[in-house]
Amino acid sequence: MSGLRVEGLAGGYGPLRVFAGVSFEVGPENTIGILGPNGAGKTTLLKTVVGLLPAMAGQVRLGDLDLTREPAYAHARAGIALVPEGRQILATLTVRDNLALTRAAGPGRDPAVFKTQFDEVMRLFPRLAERLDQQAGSLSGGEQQMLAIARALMIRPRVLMLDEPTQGLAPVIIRGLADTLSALKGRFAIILIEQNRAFLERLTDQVLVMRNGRIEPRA
Amino acid sequence: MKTALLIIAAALYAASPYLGVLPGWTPSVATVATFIALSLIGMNLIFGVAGMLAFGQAAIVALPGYVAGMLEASGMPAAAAIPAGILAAVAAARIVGEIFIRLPGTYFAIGTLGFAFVMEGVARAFPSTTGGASGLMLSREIVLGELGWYVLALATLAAGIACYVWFLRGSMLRTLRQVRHDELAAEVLGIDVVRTKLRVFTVGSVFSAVGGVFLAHYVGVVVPDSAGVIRSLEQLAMVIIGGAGSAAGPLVGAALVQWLFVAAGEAGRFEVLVYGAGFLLAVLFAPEGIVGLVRRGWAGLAPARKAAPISVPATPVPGVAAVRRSGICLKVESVAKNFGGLQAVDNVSLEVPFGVIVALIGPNGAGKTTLYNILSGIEEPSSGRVLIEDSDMASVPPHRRARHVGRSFQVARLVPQMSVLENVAVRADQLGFTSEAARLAAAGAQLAWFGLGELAGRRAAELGSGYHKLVELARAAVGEPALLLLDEPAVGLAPEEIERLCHFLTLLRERGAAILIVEHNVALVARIAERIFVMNQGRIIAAGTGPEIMADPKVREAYLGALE
Amino acid sequence: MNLFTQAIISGLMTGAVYALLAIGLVLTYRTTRLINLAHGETFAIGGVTAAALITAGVPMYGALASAVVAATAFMLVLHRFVLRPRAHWPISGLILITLGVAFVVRGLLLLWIGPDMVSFSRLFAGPPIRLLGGALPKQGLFLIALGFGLAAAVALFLGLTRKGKELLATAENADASQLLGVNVEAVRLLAYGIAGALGGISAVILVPLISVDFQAGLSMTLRGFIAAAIAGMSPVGAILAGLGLGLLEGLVTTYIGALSQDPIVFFALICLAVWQSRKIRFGGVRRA
Repeated sequence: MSGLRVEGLAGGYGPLRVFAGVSFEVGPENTIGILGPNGAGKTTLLKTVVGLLPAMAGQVRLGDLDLTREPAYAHARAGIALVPEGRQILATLTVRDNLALTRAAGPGRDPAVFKTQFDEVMRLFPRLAERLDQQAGSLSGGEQQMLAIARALMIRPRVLMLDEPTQGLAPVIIRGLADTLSALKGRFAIILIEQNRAFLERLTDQVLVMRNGRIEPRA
Repeated sequence: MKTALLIIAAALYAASPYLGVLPGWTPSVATVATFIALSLIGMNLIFGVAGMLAFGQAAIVALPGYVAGMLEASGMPAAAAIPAGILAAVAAARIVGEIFIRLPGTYFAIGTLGFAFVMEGVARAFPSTTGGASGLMLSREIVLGELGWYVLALATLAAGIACYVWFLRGSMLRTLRQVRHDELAAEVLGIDVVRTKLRVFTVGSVFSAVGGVFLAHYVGVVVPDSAGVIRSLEQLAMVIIGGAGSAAGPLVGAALVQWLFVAAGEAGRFEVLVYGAGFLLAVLFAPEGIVGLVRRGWAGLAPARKAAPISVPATPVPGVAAVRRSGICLKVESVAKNFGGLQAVDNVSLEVPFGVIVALIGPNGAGKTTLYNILSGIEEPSSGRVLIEDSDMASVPPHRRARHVGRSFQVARLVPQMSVLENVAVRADQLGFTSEAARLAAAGAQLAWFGLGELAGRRAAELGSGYHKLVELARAAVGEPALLLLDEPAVGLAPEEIERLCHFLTLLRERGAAILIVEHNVALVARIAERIFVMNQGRIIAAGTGPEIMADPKVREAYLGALE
Repeated sequence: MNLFTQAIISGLMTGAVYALLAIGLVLTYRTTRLINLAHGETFAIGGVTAAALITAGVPMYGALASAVVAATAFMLVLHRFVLRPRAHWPISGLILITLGVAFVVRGLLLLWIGPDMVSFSRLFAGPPIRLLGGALPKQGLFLIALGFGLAAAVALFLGLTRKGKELLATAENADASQLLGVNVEAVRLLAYGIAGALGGISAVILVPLISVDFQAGLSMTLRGFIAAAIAGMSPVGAILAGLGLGLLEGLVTTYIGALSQDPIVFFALICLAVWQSRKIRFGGVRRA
């Protein structure tokens, strides 16, 4: 199947192993959530799946592609998108540039394809359309979150991963975010890490629990 | 056994020029090497132990020679000129240090580099005073003969090594290792990092100056080259090749390099390349130098000796009685902090009384870490006040708050190469105990009290991350500070370790400490905290007991719904 | 002969070189967070290679081009094979490596051309341009124009082109850039390559005016760093800071004497350090 498959993955920082023995699959239309206390290794897991951290063991496969040893930008170009914790948008560049840089990623290389993608993202996030030439650092928290998701969408993901997207957002913005994610559900595989359980359960088909570096078996 | 070997090695070294074993290793070459080694002790201290990138130390080595030479030329006897020269060099070093040490390390590196540049340039530029490129002649008053000079060199080197070892005894080595490894944690533990680095730089420069002035008088002349950048780098290379951070390193490096150049004949044009290649190879492949390689080889040959278990008293050290304190320990009054446009902390007020555990919970990004940084002194609030034991903490730097405040970090910051006991002792060092024994006893007692006594002798690098956090907690608690700021102490702990954590926190509370913890583990928090503050988006949105918080709809919406 | 004009002219010439070196240093620092102490060796390598090749009979343009290629190749090799495999090392270790490399380059250059200064003929010979009471060599005019032109071109490249923006993005946040699909390693290599080329180019044009020897590298590194630091590691600032530093040196050399060059530059560094200290809250914990 052409979704994301993670097998026996282990990872951490330097000599410190943060998580191990993680295996799961996400089909191309599924949305799964990962719940767990801080320090359980959820963020480290996503960073390893996307290639920002080297895998200490195991595999990350997207369809037929084995991405385990590839650098992060190769993961992005293959279609694994991460909306990281804290958004991490490029504050000194404009909103437009933040989106345009994704043209480095695979599908966007053709200018026509890029334009189509861009227009669609603008439709999803009209607030961003109004602020295209503003410095990204001057956007509000909610707008930055939109930009981070828009940016991830621009690479035409096959898997979209979000790490605590509601962090630091006011409840009303969180509602808007939930609506956006609902609209995206089913288009591609989605992995969502959240501490906000209600948010998680509303959007996901399945919830995995992670504790102390391992995925717990759950009913 | 080890001491006997060292004595034999020292005797062999001393006798070597007369044994004729190595071609070219004459008493005069050995004298030069020995004086160089003495000056390198300084570089070893500054760079090898404290990790400071000083790239211009040759200027400090050569300056006393120049000053003494100029004074001697105007009639001062050598006996007065030499100390004057040393003083001048150390003063210059102090000034350079004062200017550059408080800035990020690169400034210090470039600053010392520039200093050597300038020294060499000045030495060349004023031939009438400094002799220009051909150098400055020094007084020939000291008439000692070849053997006499050699003995003087050995004696001063021995004295130098003794001073070096004495300087690093006890708390100093621990302090420097902490500073080298993690300056932020060092500050929070009470170490005045700038002051410490300045001190090391100055003391190191004394060694540089003494070695340099004697060398200059032995050779009889001091030239501009000896003050410049290249000579500084050569000296750095010698220290690295010999073994940075070890007592014998400078001697090994200096002797080896001096001999190599003599044995190889007038290297001339190859000199710079050979130095550079040696330096580069050492940095790339053998950063611990020859002494390090020998040590590793020795450890491989000799059977692994179990580190002697450190005896740890079973009861708290006498004198550290339960300090029953009462009232409010920490008062946060309308503290706000904004960074540019971002309001990280917005009008936060809270109190933590003595003998009470207060928890601060909230989603990531709520501003808890920023608040902690303000309480530790790492950040200044944009407005509002922080009072600890009724003293306003405005402008009080972290190392001065450390006596009253113990802080643990989200990711435990221990120094991996030091033992658990040494890591905990780093804080004890800053609390004013009068003897090394007292410091170690306090650290050991704290560990024992927490039931971690059997870990005392283990290297921090060998512990699992759960134990790291418990050790860090023990470290923060040394000296029974009034306030404990704990940042996610339960993260990464297994359930039985969490039990221990609760036990320790309860013990600390009974002894009167005021404890503020940031945590995500709501169950833990509900269990042990008498009062809980909930933060979201920089503001306190709720306060109360566990059940009250759980029932609060604002809290449910913003934060709960997370794990039980 | 108007001393002031002459001072300005010489200041502009060295300022152009400092601007090029500083902007290169900013590029490499911001993309790899590393102060490359071997940076100035690009100047030494460029100048010495050109001189040696021309002396050996290689035609002028070929020699100059080879010199620039040599400087560029040096930086590419340094980054790709020496620094990148050790990217996880602590910064102080990496700085020491660059220092060792600078040392080795110096030693090799000494072996190659010996201890004396070397030079070669100018691209633009002939009588100098008489201007406001000063004499501006044609080569010097070319240097000033090319130097500041190139530096400005780099700044424009960064702000306007896609690759340039990728570079800025990598400099700001390499991880986030990777998530967008930017090949940050290629970007870093590009930054080092540009820095090398700029160093080499500045050498082949300046050296005919002032000569070069095997030890020019460290002095250039020092100046490049000071200009970059004054500029706060910003590319556009680096141009202005390089210019300022050059003019300062020109004025000091003309009015006070050539030997005071290094002390004055060092003094500028001290002023910078003292200025920066104001922003530091206290000791080891930095906020600036």
